[in-house]
This record gives sequence, C-alpha cells and structure tokens, in this order.
Amino acid sequence: MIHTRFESIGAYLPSTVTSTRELVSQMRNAPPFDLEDLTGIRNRRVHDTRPESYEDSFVLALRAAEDALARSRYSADQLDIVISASITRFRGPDRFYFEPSFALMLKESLGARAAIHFDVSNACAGMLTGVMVLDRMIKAGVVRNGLVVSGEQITAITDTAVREIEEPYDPQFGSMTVGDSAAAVILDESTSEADRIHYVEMMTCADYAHLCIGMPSDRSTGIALYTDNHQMHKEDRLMLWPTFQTELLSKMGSSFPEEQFDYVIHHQVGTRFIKKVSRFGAEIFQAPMPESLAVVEEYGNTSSTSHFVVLHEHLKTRPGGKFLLVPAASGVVTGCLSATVSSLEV
Amino acid sequence: MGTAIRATAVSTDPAVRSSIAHAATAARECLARAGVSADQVDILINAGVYRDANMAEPAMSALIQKEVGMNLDFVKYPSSKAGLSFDLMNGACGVLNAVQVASAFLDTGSAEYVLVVAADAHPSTGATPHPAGAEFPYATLGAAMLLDRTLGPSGRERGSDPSGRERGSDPAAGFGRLHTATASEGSPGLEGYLDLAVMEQFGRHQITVERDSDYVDRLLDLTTAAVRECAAAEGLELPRTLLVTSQPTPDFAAEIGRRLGTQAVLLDGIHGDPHSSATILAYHHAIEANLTSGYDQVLFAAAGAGLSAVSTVYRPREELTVR
Repeated sequence: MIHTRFESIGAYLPSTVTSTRELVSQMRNAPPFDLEDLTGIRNRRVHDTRPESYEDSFVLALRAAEDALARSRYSADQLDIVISASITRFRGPDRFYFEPSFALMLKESLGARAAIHFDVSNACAGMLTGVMVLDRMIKAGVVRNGLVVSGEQITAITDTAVREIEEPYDPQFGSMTVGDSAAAVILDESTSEADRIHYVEMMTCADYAHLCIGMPSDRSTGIALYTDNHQMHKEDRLMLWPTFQTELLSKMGSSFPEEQFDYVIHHQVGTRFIKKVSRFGAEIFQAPMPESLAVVEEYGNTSSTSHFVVLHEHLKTRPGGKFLLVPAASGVVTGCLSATVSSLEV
Repeated sequence: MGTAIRATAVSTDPAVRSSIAHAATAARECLARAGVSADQVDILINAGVYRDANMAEPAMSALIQKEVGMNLDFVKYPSSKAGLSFDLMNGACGVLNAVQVASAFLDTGSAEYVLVVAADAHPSTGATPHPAGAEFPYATLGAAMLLDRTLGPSGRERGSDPSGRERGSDPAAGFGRLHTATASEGSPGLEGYLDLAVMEQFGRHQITVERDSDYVDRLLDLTTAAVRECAAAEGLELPRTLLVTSQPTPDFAAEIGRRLGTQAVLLDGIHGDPHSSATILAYHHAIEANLTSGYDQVLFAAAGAGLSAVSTVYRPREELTVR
C-alpha cells in the first residue's frame, strides 16, 4: 500500500499590510458594529498594485511554487504534475482567465516540462481537493510526485465590498475578511510514518451550493462575493464535519481520541468561527480538541490557501506533529486531512 | 482492473442556455441510462470551462450536484456514501484529465462510481450579451459520462448486466494511460477571459475569446502527433481504431482522420465548438449511430489552448453498443 507525504511546503504573503480599521474607514456605509471585534481579524496582506511589481493570482502562485521547489528534492523538470487550485484567476490587472489553465501557465513559467497539468477548483477547499486528487494519483501509480499550488488575489472582492456595501447585513460583508496569499505543497511517496498523509477525505453537501456565490458585480466594475452568512454558518452546517469524520473513523476502527492529533487547522474564517467549529467538534466527538492553530488575526481569510499558510507559519517557530486539517468551503465542502509532519522545512 | 464507461448522455436542447442546466440534464440522463442513482455516485467532476454569469465560486460542480440531487446534506438525508464534487479545468482537454483522475479514485478503491460532466455556455445565458463578448465560438450544450471499474480490487466480478453478459471480466478493458503533449514555445493560441477593463457592471454577461489565426493549424499538428505517439505507445493499428476528438472547427475531426488514415467521429448539427463536452459528445454519437462496429478500440484525443493535447485509448469491456 502506497502512502503519500508532504515533501515540501512553500508560501508567499505580499508585504503590504492593511488593517480592518483602514478598510472600514474607506467604506461609504460603515457598519454599526466593530468588524475587527466581530471577526478577530486585525490585518490582512494586500497584493502589490504598482505596475512595475504587480502581483496578480499568477505571480503570487509562482512565488509560492518557487518557494516550495527551493526546499524540495525535486527540480521543476522532475515534477510529474502541476495542479493549480485557486478561486481567483487574475493575470494582469484586467484579466480573469478561464483558459488556458493556470496550471499550464505555471508549469511553463516554472520549467516543469514533463508535468501533466490541470486546474482544480473547489472554492476555499481548492488546495485540499488538489491534495486529495494528487494523493490518489500517486497511490494509483499515475504520477510519482506533484505540485499543488494556489495564488489568491482575493482582495479584489474587498475592493468591491468597500464600494458597494450599504446594509449592516449586506451579503458582501464576508468580502471584508479576506487577505491575499499563495501557498504550494509538493507531495510524493511516504516511506516513514513520521512524514505521512494518513488520510484525506472530503464531501460536498450541495443543498447549500447557493449560499455563497462569487461572480462579477452588477453594480460596478469588480468581482464580488455574496454570502448568506446566517445560513452558511448555521449550526446544522457545523455538524457536517464532525459527523463525517466520526463515520470515517468508525469505518477505520478508530476514534477521535485514538487519533491523537497534536493540532487542528480549521479554515480561517474568523476567530469566533474557528472556536465555534472546535466546540461542535468537541461535542460530537465527545473528546477534547487539539490545539487550534490560526493566522486569521494577521492574514485574514486567505481562501483556498488558508490551511497551508497556517501550517507554513507554524513550522517557522514550532515543531511538526500530527495535524488535522478541516476544510469549510462554499459548496458546501468539508472533510478532513490527517497528516504527520516531521521533516518539512520552511 | 480498468476504468470503464458505464453510460453517456448529452444535453443539446437549444432552448437551454445555462451550463449548469445542460450539465445537470446530461448527468441525470446518464444516471438513468446506467440505472445508477445519484446517491451511488462517489465523485462528480465538472470539466466545463465557460459558465453562467462567470461565476468563480462555488465550484460549478456543487451547483450541478444540487440539481442532480446527489448528497444534498449528509446529516439531514443520510446515505451510504458522502458524495464529493469539484471542478477540473483544462479547456477541451479537461474531460480526459477528469477520466485520469477518476481512474485514480477507482483504482485506489476510493470510489465505485465517478460521474464526469462538462458543459459550456455564454455567461449571459441567453440575456443580451455585452457587445465585448458577442463573438463566442462555443456551442451551448453539455455531456456526461459515468465511469466505473471493469474489475473489482480483488478480482471480484461485478454482477451481470441485463443482457446476461458477465460484466467486468476482461482485465485489459477500459481506458489506457493518458498521453500529454504540449507545444513548448510561443503563444497559447487561444485565451478566454473576462476583461475587467471593459466590463463595467456587465461582467456577468460578457466573455472575451481570442484565437490566433494559426491556432487551428497548430492544434491539428499537435493533435496528429499526440495520436501517433499514443497509438505507437499502446501498439494500436490506427485503421482498426475509431477516433473521438475535439472539434474546434467543423472539419477538424475529418482532417485528423485523413492525416492518420482512419475514421474520426464527425458531429453534425452542432452550432459552434462543443469544447469541453466534445469528446463525450462524439463518443455518445458513435455509440448511438453504431459507428464503432469493425473497430477494435476507440482513441480519445482532445486538444486545446496552451497548446496542449491529451490522448488515451479506450477498449470497451463488451460490445460497443447502447446499454
């Protein structure tokens, strides 16, 4: 039985820091509540908009991929596959691409000549979906290794929200919480339990597919995200992950306490959301939750990269261990990735 | 153990202008033909590119999944399986990449059924397109293909089909390896994008598609070379092989067939390039019109922007007939 592992991880965060207070001060219709207090998000990174050093989804993705490759045993031309998993597909200040695939453009820029390429798109679960796909492709012997990368110039939706929000319960409020970033991981076969993806399983509960829609605005020039936050984060939705993982573990003859996770990484929606999800987990698993890692206060919700930005940040100062990554994405998508990480460098 | 096509279906009603509706219609029809319920599908992969209102989130697959009624809520409506869906985008090649991914899930025992769908539509979905997006070369339609295993993981035979034949008894049956060829130099040949510089508040109604003047010629050369390489690697006799290809222009498939000295499936009555749906559409037509008799196998070849081409052989596990 082949297992896979995270062989290398890379990340890139733009240097410009924008605070929630600054953003709120730019709004035409500032909310009656304290957005920073409500979300726990103080700052986020915003892409460089200077023409000579412009950072779009593509440039961000490239930086993270190069970062991952710099510490990988593989050079770009040894990669068997490149999967791009971003929601945003900006290349240049004015173009949002549908084809060619971002994976092809990235593969060419990186020099991954031999690689298969395609994009996987699954909202904020995009990178985890890419990892799941790659895990199965390595296990099936289709490829030996591969890169999953995502560059998110997601603050495009913030620009629209700042311009357009009118109501205290405006469906664009979620757009005020995001931050730009990029992340990349390289996977290959695991030969030691000390570095292994134990399982990665996900599901989409499509009854709620309409609760969060990203598309061009019909009021101004911009891309917008419209979320029914009340429905999206309703308690019923939060039961999906622990119920799913409980059934999975029971089929595997295990239980949450037996898994002995050191850390859990939730999707970085906001500090209250993360606490709430963990609380539901503890109730349904009937077990204490491992330490929850977060970067949301400083980086905001970085969309499809969030789990890997957190993991990368954690490894800068602290040791590896056994991690549980839990997606929560439009669709709605949830699930679990269990991995032991020991020798990843950042 | 291989990956087999259990059923296919298409959605071509010209009154339907939505990519979601086309993909979902084809998906439902495909499941009905296979006698498989939506709850039995483990994974739904959408390979469509051009979509309603230029949506970027959620995955279009989630909206299609909702229409199909697959795993709507794992807690509220418990079923034996938790279905997953996602989009896989790679222009006209996406469907064959989706088959490649589906095979990995089927081979590793992570899925029993994978449903691959594709559909393209102008983002305006029938509303008056913004002038900047008026020239749209793609056909508005959709297609679906249900995949399963030819043989269980431990040599377990699957049940017999209604005709009494043992299904899944041929270990060589199914899709072969996917071969990829990419032109390493020059322009991507074709680009499809939303142009924020001109969209104003009409971004949901416009899309820009730019084709180089030599795009189709380069694509023909690349696809021909890709098919030759695949045929050589798989040891195929091309005259005994039916070609199922992309159809970016009405005479593309015929020209590939002429260059390679074999028959390609030709599609009539399609207005525009069937793009992401093309290979399923052509295969479906071949089965419906019984074009497969006399051939040992089908060779799928898709080509698109980048420029890149993918090809794979398909050996049916039983007679190539409508199930």
